[in-house]
Amino acid sequence: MKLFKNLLFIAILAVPVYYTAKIMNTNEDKSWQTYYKSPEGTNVHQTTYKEKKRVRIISDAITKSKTREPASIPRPRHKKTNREVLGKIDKDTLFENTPNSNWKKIYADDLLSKLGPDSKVYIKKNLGIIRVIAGKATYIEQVQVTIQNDADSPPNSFEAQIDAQTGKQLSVWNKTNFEDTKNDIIMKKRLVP
Amino acid sequence: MEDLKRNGMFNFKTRKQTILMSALVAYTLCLTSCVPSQSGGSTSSSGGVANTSASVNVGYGRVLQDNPIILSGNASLDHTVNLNSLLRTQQDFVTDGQYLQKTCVNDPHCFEVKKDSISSLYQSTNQKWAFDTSTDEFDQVQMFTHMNWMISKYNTDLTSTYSTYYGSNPSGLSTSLPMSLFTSGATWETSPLRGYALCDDLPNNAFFSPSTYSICLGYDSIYENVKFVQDPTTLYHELGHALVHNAMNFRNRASGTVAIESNLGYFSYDEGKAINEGIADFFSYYMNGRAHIGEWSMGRFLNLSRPMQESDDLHVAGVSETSEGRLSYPTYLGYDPNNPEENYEEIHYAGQIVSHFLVAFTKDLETACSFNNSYARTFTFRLLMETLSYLGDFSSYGIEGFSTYGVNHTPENAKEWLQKNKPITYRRFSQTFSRFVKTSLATDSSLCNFNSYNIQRLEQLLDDYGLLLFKNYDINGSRSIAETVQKVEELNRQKTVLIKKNQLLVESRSGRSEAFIFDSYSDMNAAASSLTNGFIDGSLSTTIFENGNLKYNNGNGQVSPGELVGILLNLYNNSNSTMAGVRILANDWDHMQDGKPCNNFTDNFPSASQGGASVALYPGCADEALDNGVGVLDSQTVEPVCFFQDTQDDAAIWVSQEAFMTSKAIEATECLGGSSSTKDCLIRSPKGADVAWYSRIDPKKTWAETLVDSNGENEFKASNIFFLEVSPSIPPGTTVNCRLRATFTNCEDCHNITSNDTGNTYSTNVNTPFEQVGDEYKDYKYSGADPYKIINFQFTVID
Repeated sequence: MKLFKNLLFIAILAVPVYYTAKIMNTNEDKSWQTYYKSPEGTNVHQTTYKEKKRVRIISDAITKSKTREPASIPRPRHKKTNREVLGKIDKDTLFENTPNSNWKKIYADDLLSKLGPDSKVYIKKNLGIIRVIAGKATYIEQVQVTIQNDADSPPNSFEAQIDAQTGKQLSVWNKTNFEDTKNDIIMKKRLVP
Repeated sequence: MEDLKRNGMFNFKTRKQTILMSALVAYTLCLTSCVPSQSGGSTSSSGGVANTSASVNVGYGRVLQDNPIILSGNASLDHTVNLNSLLRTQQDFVTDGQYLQKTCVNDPHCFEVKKDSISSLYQSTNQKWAFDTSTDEFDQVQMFTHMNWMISKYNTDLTSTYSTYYGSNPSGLSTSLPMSLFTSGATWETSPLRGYALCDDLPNNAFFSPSTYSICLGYDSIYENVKFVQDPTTLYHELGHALVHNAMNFRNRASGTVAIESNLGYFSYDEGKAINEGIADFFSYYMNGRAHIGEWSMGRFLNLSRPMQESDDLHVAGVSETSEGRLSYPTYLGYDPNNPEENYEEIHYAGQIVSHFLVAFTKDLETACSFNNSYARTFTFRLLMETLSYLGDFSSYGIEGFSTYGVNHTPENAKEWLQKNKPITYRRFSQTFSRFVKTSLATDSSLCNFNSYNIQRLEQLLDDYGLLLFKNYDINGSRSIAETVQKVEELNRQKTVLIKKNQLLVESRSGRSEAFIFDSYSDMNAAASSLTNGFIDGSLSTTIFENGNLKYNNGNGQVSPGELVGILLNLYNNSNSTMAGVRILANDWDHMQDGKPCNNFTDNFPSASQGGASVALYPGCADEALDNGVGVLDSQTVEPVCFFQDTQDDAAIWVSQEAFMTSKAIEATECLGGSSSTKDCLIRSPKGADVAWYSRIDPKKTWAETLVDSNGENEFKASNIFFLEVSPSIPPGTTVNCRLRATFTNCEDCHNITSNDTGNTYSTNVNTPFEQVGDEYKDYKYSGADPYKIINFQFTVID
């Protein structure tokens, strides 16, 4: 009976361990997800085909079939997590964060909390990396983001690095370059001393 | 055709030529309609070419070779024009496939074209591509074919450039092109470039998106049948942005050590973006040799076409191809040739200086090296590719084979340097472009048809454009090596004006404000939304938001607890010349030691009795951080710009934000960035919104006075303002000092080591023994004060 209890305990414990390891090893879902606000909070669903077309997101299947292998020299991978490593990990490396499976939701929540009520945020994870600087390693998620503020304005896209634990945005680049910049912040004022 | 006037008038010479040309075309059309051509093309009943599948061979179609204005020779062409009449009878090869697609499997420069993102790829089962010009299918074929021509030319010219360095008979010259440029696939993104021929949500607009690697072309909002895709020059411009993006990232993609990509320009207005627009315009000239862009899509109904040479009739009187008449920096930064009386701060207009310079340089190459125009354009392209490959390098080596960092400081700091501390300005661009001219054409005469290329002619041309803004060629960048500084001939600087940084002042005239504060609820909520839309690196603090809106913004024109505020610093140009490319930095820098503000800089602030740290007691104040606080090369840190006034023993002293927190018992959990961000706990400038740009400030004026419109109003973009987040936990009445740094592009003493006293007390840096007078400041110096003018902006937080 005692042996059975132990086995049961181990089996129960093994389930979350297995899934945690699986998430870390597979680097999570890399498909597009749509986040938007509702009275109940932030809602999320897999980005639909219709949405993808509307905001000019390329279908995952099409991208995969037509994409060449990554152009640059292959980066080393961290064996445990299968993440690409930028820098060098050794026994003295200090990991400053741990991956959190909820990072994408936290990130989307933060974006939506500062955008208009009709905004939709589309996020796709491109890459999971470990960045090592001065002996300190950080788990980072690299994402592609498209934001549609309302149905009438064209969507804006960019890429970003996200802290894999806190979901905080660390860096952005590759923002859409519109010729007519009327969607940028413009205020007209008479300056009075 | 270059003589064509944009106002609908022809000069006599042009008219005569046009009549002759029209007669010739009509005669040819007549002949081709009577005798079946090789392709079987015929005229339709409406007079145009019957562009049907029956009229072309497999794999072929017909496209507009240029835009309708040029093809018709009619500057007043009506929007109802039958574009079929402008097709030539000769067929154009499109593709052998069934889709408008070059697959990545067989072609590393793969791309595809669809009508828009919603449509599927058009399938031609008979592999024929001839369609009536009014159809969506024609638009797609038009876009695909011109993309194909331009991408093929890019690939051919890049391959030829590459072979100069890495071919069977290498020149031995240094280059920024990586050796693995082609083997690593660094010339192109890993996904195909997607062209959308008609985006219905882009009236009067178009875009290049580097993150989705796509180009979208819009249409005229009034005459919706006027589509941007009908004007190949507009496509060349957008595709030019894509090629600029590629070049900026050649070294990043090839390195295998860089995860993010570099961009030429980051803000609504900055000089990098203006240069990007100028180069994108040049790509139209690169393709067709005509120095004018967008006559149909932008020029005919929107008055937005742009010339690229001073002899263009669109220009105002006084603009000419003489030294005096060139479109020079900074005079013409806000010049719109379509509305010359207006005064703009806009990247496309500012970019004209670059496009005009590049065209003039190309024409000068024809003379200097006996090149034909086509080869001269290719050579300018080559120099552009090298320039951008160098400037965009986030692996920081810059030149292939170098083993020490020479550009963009270090990989850890590269984005911060490119975006803020040492961005691509007109100075950096012209200096780097010249560097590659000097190390190629001026070094190896075989590159110049065995003519001796005298670098003086480049310096003189740059000066004509006000672009001789640099004093040396910066051959080795920021590398610390023994070298002879390659200096510019100072006598060539006749037109370019350099101004001392002490001429940049905070407004102090009677009755004028030092700064304008934007804190209205509506403006700042709109700003917060825009900043979140891919503008700032981090995220705005949740402590100042409630239910998706800013919680505390009161619009009283003051800085209040809990607000997001925009600050427009009212800077005054005290010199007698136009100051340009003015930047105010509110990002972290090395100006404090052990939590105390150092007082060994030009501002002599704060005194020791006010809490300032002297070099004698805090020797670290005399050292600039070698790697901007990353912690690899030294332990020097960079600190937030704002520090606080506190009271100690009844005396007012300046302390760090952390010290102020302790003094006022503010918990770390109250910090703007959470409990782990105590250094900028109470006031911080969001990363990416911590820079303000002013295109120019006229003599004896402020920026606002320089760019005021006829109604007495100013238009503010996000790039004109730096933002501050203010913690709700700051006690009202608190006085804050933000120690900002400012610089400008045509600054005399912001970029080079001089023997003059800078006013900042720094120790000699033993790690960089080869710094010498006349050389550029090494990159680490941009963590400190020397390249900048320090501006202390003080305010009291008022509820």
